[in-house]
Amino acid sequence: MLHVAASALSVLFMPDNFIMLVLGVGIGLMIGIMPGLGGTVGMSILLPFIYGRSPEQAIALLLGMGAVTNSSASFTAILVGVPGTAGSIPTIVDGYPMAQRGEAGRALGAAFFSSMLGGIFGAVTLVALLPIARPIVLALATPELFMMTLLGLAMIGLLVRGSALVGTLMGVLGLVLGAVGGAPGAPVYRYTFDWLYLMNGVPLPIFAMGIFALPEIVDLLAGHRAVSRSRALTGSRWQGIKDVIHNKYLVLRCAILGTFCTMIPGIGGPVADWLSYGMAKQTVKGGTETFGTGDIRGVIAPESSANASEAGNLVPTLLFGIPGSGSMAIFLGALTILGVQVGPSMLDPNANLNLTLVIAWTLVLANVLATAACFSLSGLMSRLSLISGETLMPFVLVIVFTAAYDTTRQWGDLILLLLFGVIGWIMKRMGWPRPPLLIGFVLANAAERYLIVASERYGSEWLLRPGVLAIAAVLVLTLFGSIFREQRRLRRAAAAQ
Amino acid sequence: MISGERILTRRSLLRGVAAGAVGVSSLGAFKVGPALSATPFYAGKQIRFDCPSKNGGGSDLAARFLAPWVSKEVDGNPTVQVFNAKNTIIGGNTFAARPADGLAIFISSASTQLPWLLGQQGVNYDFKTWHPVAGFPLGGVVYTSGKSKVKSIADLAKNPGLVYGGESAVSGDTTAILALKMLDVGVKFVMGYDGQNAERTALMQGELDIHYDSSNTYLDELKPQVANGDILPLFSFGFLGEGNKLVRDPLLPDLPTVAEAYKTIHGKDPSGPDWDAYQGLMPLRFILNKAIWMRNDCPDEAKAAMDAGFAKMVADAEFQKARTDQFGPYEVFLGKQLDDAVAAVNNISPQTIAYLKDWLSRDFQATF
Amino acid sequence: MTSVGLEGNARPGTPGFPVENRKLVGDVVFVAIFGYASYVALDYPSLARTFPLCIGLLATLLSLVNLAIDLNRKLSGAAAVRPPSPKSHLEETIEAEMEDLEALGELEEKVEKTTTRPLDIARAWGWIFGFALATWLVGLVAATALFILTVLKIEARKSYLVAVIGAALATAGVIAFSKFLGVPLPEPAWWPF
Repeated sequence: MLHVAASALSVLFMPDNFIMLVLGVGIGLMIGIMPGLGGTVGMSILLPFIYGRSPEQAIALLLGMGAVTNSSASFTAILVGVPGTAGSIPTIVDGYPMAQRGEAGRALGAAFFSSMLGGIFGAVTLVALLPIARPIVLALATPELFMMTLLGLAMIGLLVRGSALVGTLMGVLGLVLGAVGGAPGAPVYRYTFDWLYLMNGVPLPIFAMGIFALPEIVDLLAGHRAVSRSRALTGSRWQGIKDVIHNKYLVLRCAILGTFCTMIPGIGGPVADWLSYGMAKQTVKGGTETFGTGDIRGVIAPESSANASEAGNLVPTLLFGIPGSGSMAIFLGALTILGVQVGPSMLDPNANLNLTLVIAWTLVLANVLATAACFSLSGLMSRLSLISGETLMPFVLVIVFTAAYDTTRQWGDLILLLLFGVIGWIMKRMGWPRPPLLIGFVLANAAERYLIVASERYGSEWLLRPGVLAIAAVLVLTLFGSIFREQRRLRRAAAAQ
Repeated sequence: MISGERILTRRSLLRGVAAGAVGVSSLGAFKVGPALSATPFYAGKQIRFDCPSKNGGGSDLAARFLAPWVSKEVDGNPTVQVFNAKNTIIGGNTFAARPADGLAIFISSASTQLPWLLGQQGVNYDFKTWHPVAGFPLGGVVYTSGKSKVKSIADLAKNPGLVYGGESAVSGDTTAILALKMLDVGVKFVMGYDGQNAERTALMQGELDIHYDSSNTYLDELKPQVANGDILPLFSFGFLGEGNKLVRDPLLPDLPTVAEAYKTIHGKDPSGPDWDAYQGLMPLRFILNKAIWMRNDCPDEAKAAMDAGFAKMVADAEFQKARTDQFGPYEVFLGKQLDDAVAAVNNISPQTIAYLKDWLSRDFQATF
Repeated sequence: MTSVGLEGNARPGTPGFPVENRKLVGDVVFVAIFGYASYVALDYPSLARTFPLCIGLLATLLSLVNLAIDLNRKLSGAAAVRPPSPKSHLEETIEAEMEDLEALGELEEKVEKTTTRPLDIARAWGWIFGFALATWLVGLVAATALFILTVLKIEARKSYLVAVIGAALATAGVIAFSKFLGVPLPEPAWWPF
């Protein structure tokens, strides 16, 4: 086994393959920085270039790109509060306040290092999991998937700072907004106000940029001030790495969560990242109080799971030929073009095992390369947080507009962006927490879809399935745990007064 | 909702995109000889190739495969740029709003035509005002999970309550659920799955018993699973032969058609409103599975140039080879044959449409 | 961070009425949105209705509770000039929670308020909507050049040289993005629909 692994690594270091890897990583980093553009777009751009290449070259190019889009997305998320990819949205919650404190370098360093560790962990798990993943994936039918989305929704309760009631309301508002467009259960369009644009629903990139990015842009532009409220940058990127090492078990837990959640087709990377964030907030010392105000651990948690999710997505893709995400669908197509038949043969030493190992090594190397690149740029980039709003924000706004219009290429993109920008700004002014809104929005469609399929398929029997009961137990424990903690905190606060 | 971009197999189309790109690079070396006397209509012009699906969706990939060939074969070698609207109805509306200058072509799929035929909310386009250029046919296969009790077509009738899973009743699934309804074997329909991959996972889990895929996907991806007994093919949707008669799918000559399946179960040839509706949908679903359109009111020379371009394309052995690799050996429909199929779709009786609408709203709560 | 924002800020009973009224308006908007969503959902067929209706009704209820708490708090806040009456445990809990929320909201407000005036905010939104309008009128490429040039010159008071260079860079970036990825950009239009 070790011998095979070493030879797979040496294959990647052959010049032809290594150039492809570097190229893929470079393109992935650029795509990650652009808000709204993710791995799917990158894969479809690169697809025409793989024809006539060896499977190893194609893997190096495509996965090299796909593995790293989340890494560079941290730049925009932390420095200007604009989500570069869907997976980087939770990073904003604590990363951006850190940049406001002048600790952009530290946050970036931690983000890059933890996403690299997560990516490497994912690659190792991929190889270890493939032989045993089949029963796990097959055990999670629609009712269990529904329970998983409920678990995700419970995160709303955990993420709320301040009034639980207002937080819940925001989460529910997200669910309602997520119901706009085609209903999953019947050929019916809902809440479209006879506006054709809304038949497709509200696109996530538009929603996320409107709610999180525009309010910041407005306030920084109006205030003529930089993201960082302190004049000097404190906390270097090296400090960020130390933070990650200090929180190594948190990295491990979140990487596990990211890999396992995305292994199940139907649970996307963004959901896994929020789950990691919520789990971290719940379990680290003092997390319920400091998360959301610029706690480095709030950056480490989602970043550790973000890059691990690429490996998780690969499990069903390689094992069953069932892609776990849009970009995986294209990657699977690319493998077929090159004559690689996925399935159990991916584990057969006489067939494709070496390709599986090349895939795993590609993930590892791509993550290392990307982190090295991002890390060396982070010193320079973190200075962006010192540039005054009226100079920097116009450029950010151009990026946001360009990316927004690429979402569906209709004027509705810009109209909704502005609409949600105004709404987000009001929410910010009112002190209403915005992350629950986003979680509700992300999960709305999946929750409804799974609920309808589960009850249509199983009647009410699904409620008694062992998997459902097990996840329900976790759910109840989580909720009680958070209520208990909250009570204790309130009592402590009362005692302190 | 009405995504249904699953009618052409994604993977084979991906292969097409890559092949198309290579085609262009190798074609770039030479130009088709100069036009006879007058400047060709499309000389130096840019064509917008409107497509109603997402990046990487069926129509998008088909359009990206065809774009370089259009550029090569149409007289004047126009440049071709693919515009995807990312939603089937919005895509149709976008094309309908383009000027009638002959510089826009459109690729439709069955999921663009079905909402139009049924008069769904939001449809602002009318295929009757468009000129068909080419039709790319594709069939489909209905199969069961190896885990279910069904071992043959006759078993279908003995096991009522088998579960079929699909995405939406007004989409690529429509033909499959109509076929199963016609067989009248008590299949239970569960709609709301998040596309083909979710459905295939559910089939493996035993949550679903019956599913359908396009002939190409079946041949490309499912054959190994048939070999090891995970999947059992039941019947094909069939194909349209001479005189719009249902015949066996040329890609799957060993598989009975839905009409044969009906005969096996009920001992007689199919008839009745379900059968009429099924036959009515056939041209739309198979011959026009992916079809290329222009506006009827654009210049005649534009239409003629485009028609001639596609005829030349189909006659090109290199294109045939590339296309056969992707779409299977189905014949591309052009000219009179194509016009007949379009006429058949346009002439579907109002009773049939009313029957379909009634059934879809009653059984699947569709609103029109 | 939580405690920083509390100092010297409007607490119930002190000059905090504008905040209170604004909050109440927000609460009413919540009730209205959820009520409307539930009402519209009534018309959908059952498979499309169940989910939004359940969510909507639950949310309407919650938002009414929220409104009631805030109304109650406003009234008791107004009465806080009087010697404080003994509070029940529930009231204390609710109040502590509200304070938390206020702390977060007010901290942000405080920071924004010390640096921005309403006029500045309006001008910032003006720039953004202006950019959108320009995009609609002349297309994204020209609007980008125009927008960067004017913002850098007028808002950031940079020299013409810097403004022109900035505009050129941004425009080139947008064009490169469009070419590299083969994506169309917003084109000039006089009516967006």
